[in-house]
Amino acid sequence: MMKLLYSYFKLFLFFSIFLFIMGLKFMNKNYSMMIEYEVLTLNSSSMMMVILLDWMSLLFMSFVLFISSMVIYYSAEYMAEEKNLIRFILLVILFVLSMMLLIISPNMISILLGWDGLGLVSYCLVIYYQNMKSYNAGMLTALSNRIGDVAILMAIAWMMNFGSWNYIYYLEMMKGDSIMEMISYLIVLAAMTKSAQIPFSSWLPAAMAAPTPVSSLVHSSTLVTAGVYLLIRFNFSLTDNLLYLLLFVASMTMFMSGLAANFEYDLKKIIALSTLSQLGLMMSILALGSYKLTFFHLLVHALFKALLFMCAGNIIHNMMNCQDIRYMGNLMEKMPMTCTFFNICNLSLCGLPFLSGFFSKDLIVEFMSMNYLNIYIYIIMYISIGLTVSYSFRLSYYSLIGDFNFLSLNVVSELSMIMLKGMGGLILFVIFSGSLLEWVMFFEPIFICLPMVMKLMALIMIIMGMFIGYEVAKFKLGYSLKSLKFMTFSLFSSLMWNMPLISTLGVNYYPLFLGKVYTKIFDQGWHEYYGGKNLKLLAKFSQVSQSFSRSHLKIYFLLLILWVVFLLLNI
Amino acid sequence: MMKFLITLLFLIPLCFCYNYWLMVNCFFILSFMFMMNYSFNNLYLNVSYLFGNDLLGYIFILLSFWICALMLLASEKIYKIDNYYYLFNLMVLLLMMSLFLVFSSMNLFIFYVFFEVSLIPTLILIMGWGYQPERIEAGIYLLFYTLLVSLPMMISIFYMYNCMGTMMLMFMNYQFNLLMYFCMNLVFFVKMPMFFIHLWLPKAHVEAPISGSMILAGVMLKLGGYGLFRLMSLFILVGLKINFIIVTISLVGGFFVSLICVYQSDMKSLVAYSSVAHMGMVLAGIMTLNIWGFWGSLVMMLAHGLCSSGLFCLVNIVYERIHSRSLYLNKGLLNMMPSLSFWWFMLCSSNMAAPPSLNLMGEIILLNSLVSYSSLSMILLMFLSFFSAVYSLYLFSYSQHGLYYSGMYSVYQGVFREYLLLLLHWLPLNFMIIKSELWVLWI
Amino acid sequence: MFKFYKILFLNILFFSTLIVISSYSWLSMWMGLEINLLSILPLMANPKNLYPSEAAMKYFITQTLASLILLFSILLSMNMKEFLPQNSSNMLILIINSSLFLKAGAAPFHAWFPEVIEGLNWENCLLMMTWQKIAPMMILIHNLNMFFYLSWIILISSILSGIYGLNQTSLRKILAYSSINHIAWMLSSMLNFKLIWLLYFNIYVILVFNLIMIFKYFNIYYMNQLNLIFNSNKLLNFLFMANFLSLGGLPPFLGFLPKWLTIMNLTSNQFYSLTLILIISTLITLFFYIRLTFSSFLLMKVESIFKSKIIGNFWFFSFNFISLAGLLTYAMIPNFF
Repeated sequence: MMKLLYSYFKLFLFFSIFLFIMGLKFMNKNYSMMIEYEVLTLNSSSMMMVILLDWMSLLFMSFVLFISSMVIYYSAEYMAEEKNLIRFILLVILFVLSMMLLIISPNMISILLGWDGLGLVSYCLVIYYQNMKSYNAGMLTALSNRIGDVAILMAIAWMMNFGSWNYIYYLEMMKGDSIMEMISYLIVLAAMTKSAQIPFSSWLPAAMAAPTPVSSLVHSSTLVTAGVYLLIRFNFSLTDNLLYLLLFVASMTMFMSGLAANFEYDLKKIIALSTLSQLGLMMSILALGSYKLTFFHLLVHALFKALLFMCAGNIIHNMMNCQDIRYMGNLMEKMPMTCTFFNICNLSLCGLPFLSGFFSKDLIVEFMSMNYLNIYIYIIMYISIGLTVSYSFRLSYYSLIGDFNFLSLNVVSELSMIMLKGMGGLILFVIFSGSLLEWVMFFEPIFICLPMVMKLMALIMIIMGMFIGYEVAKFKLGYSLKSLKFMTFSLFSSLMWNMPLISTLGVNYYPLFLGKVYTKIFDQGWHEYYGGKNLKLLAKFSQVSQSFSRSHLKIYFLLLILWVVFLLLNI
Repeated sequence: MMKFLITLLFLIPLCFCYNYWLMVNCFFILSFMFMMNYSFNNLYLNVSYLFGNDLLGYIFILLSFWICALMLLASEKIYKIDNYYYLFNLMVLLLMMSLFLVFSSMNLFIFYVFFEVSLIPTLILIMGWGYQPERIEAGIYLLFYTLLVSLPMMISIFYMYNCMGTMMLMFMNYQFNLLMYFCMNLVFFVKMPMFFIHLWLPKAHVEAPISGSMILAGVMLKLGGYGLFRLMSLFILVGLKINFIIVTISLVGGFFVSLICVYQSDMKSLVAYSSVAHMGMVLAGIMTLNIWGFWGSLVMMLAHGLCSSGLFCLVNIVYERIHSRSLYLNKGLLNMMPSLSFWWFMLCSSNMAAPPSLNLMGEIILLNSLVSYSSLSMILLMFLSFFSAVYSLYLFSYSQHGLYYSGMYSVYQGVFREYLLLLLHWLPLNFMIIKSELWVLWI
Repeated sequence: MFKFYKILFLNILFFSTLIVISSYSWLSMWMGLEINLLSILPLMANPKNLYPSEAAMKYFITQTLASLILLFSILLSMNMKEFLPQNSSNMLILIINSSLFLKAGAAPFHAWFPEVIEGLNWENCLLMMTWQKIAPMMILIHNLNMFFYLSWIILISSILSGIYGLNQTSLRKILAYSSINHIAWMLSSMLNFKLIWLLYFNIYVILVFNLIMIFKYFNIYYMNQLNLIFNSNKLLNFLFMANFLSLGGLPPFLGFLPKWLTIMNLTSNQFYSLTLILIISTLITLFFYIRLTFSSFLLMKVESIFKSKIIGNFWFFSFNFISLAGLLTYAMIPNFF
């Protein structure tokens, strides 16, 4: 089994490097390649399996493969005690495979292969552990994603009007067309479900029920970025109104999740919420009009978020599967390497200058500042950046320094070499990939011209966030409970604006209730009444008419005679 | 045509021979032999007397051969406990013969006769080898729901004959009125089944033995679709006026039934209701009267035949171990039969039209058809598609996930036969999409 | 004990029916009917059992009444018109037809029929349900010109037989009501094309003969006796069920053939609603046939130790086979020419 695992690791690593080189080459030559396999032609509209290889897909694939190879390597130790390791590995491989299929297909139908595959395999991975929580989380994940699938199916139905499902050909040509608008609304809906934008956000923290390597894979580069990637592909067709809508939703998501992460105590959930906030960031910059920046941030974010999760996994593994950050503390002493990685990732996430996150994030906010938009976007963007820093620092303060709060009998140590190796493979890229990618992707620099304050605003927000995070981390329940004054506010914020409640209890009651009603009213009600069951009336009728034939021969003969007489009278 | 019929006829003595597996083999050999008969166009081939097949009939015959072979494979228990397996073999054989004749007849009346004939072996299968006493009610429902509308159809067939002077399907060229529309098609609506008159189906499915459920879901429901395919050309004018009612009923009904599915606690009944929902979509596709609808309906029917038959097999495999179909007792099966859980997942996901199953192909084509028929149907289709995922996942996760039933003292792992059975359901379902042109050439 | 007089009367019975069928004048027809009646009464009688005698009495009164009315109407017509024209006064035909329906036991005049059948043993039931129908029906064939009246008789027969039969537990009564239902079918089959009546009647005889043979062999008279009786022999079980399905007119069996022909004939003569009602009410009879065969359908695992000798009875099975596979054979034969 371990052999299988390592061979997959090697395979993925090889392909990752190969694809990276190919991606650079394709980018350099501005070259792209399409391979079509025709499945079916109906009424001259052909359903095809299409493979599109351009620098974007190649680069993305290479990153996904790199991260997943590291994650697979990492899980050799993390999942070592797992009984069904082979199932786990195969699910992860399937997951990566569906992501590949999603990345390379510019066709609405063939993208379903990856899209649905991601949803289903992620479902299997989320319910991998057999407990009620993961069960619920899996259902929530799968069904939220299914909304996106349905939206894509509907988009396919609308796309039939173009005679082909290769959307990539029609994006710019048909922009502004009512059908294309319909399609793009549906696609945005799909992307919003996959990338957990606001009405559908609740599944993302819930999906933390999956094993940590999976979370690392799901929330960094694969599942959640699928929506963003789809929108990157689709961004040429999105109309202004749709973009405003998307911008609003994405910025709200970003703000909401940043706020919620500040209230959260579950290690993995904090990171998940931070993913959510970064997704919001990507979506909003996409809505602001720069798909390239989105892609840039997507890749960079994938790297540091994967490593962040892997570090978290290592910590959780050492803490005997305890995820609550209140039990952690002073881990710096026990596991210095992991904590170093953790810190680097966190700082990169915050956008500390010259770590990889800085390049993308700074560019994004400055691009935003250069745009002429409203004050709302400006404020919420910067506040969200501040919030990111705030929760990152809070997390660091809680877990890395301070007092050790776990059981007195513990073996928190850093002897897990395999995991560390897996993590170590990523750390260099976390540091350097930002600058590397910026040099590679942006041949001509983006022209930024801002006043001093606005230019430094990002840094100011980061410093403010650091301070707030530090302050928040010091909160203790033993303090004079002034927080009770804000209890409703903090409950509201920490519950992601009640979204998990709404998207579980809020929506599962009515279908079940209606199911009951329909069963009672239709299938066991009117259908039986006008169907089979009411034929007992016939039996009743039969019983009643039976009484006519009780000692009746006299009457019978009498009636007969009467009938004959009646006939005779008429002759 | 005759060669297969005669082969089937001469298989009858083999039913009474004590080798059960020989029969299974014969069916498989027959189905592979029949595959050689594939025709690449919509013309009638292999004509002898009143029988012959075009691609449409061919597809259904192939499906019924396949399902019948799998039925025998699935019902090993009947052989094991010696539950009149020779009679069972005979029934399956008779069923196969009648289905063969239904799908290959070129004459409407012969079609009708064998349509009725196929009811009786099914009835005997349900009443004879079912499990609960409720199977009597189920059998009665099955028989009388169909007969109540199929006998009036007989009148309308003769009326048709008087109007057209022929009953050969290929020479039919006439437009009938509304009354004829209902007299003729109601039987197919019942068979499909359309919402409102689907009541026989959950009952029959739940009470039937595995073979009965398989053939019901696999082929018998498709008889309705097949009949509509053949006859809708006679009702184009009236169909254009009132088909929207049927489309609405089947889509709304599909939505309702999907919700009913979520409410079920009996696995078999869940699968049965899910086939009502799927067939509702198929019916709606046929009723749009556009070419996409016909294509999609056929593909969907084919896919549904394999997929829901496979799901019934799964339910039965579990039932043979736990002796219950209740979702409250069948929990945590993943812990007991992990490999079977894989098949559960594959077939459940196929049921919710996940790629690369043929269900997805059918659903896409049907969506195209229905949305181009009316964009308002989008709303219902969205619900339908979404809830198909809900109940499929519900079935999967409720049975596979969680703590297994503590009252269960012993359970045995799956055997090769069962995995083969599931593989043979799944393989055509997922691999036919690669050359799915084969299923759309018929029109 | 071998009763020669029974053979004698049986022969006379057959003979008298032949007289009716082949007679040239109304009087000899009537005479044939009377001989028929008088010859069946000794066949019914059984000194050790009260019920056949009662049945015979009822039968006698009814048939006498019918014959009387027939004779009366014949004489009346002779007095009025000196012959019985095909399109004479409707009322006269009505009377004649009524008397014949009474003899045959068609529905509004059916009330004697289940009562009589209930008292008889199976052989006599067979006679009553088959042979005794020939004479009145043949006369009816020659006197059909009131389609409206006939349609009503058909409708009432089919509906009433369905509804009355639903409540019975006695097999003889169920067969009696089924017979009434089949009379409705036979009447409708003779509406346009007499040959179909012949076919229908023949097939009906075969079916009823099969069933009664089984009942007779196992000495079954009531529904509750059916439960385990066939468990000794699954093939017999199967044949029993198939015969009832055949009687109900389901396709692969022979019983479908006459119904098919009748429906086809009726629809080609635009009797749509009549056919529809006939078919739907036959469904009700089919329901109680199937109710009888539940025990056969269920394939219960309880095997009886009692092995019946009927297993080896060649004639039994060949006869059943003919009756069940007849449709296919019938359909196949023309193909060979």
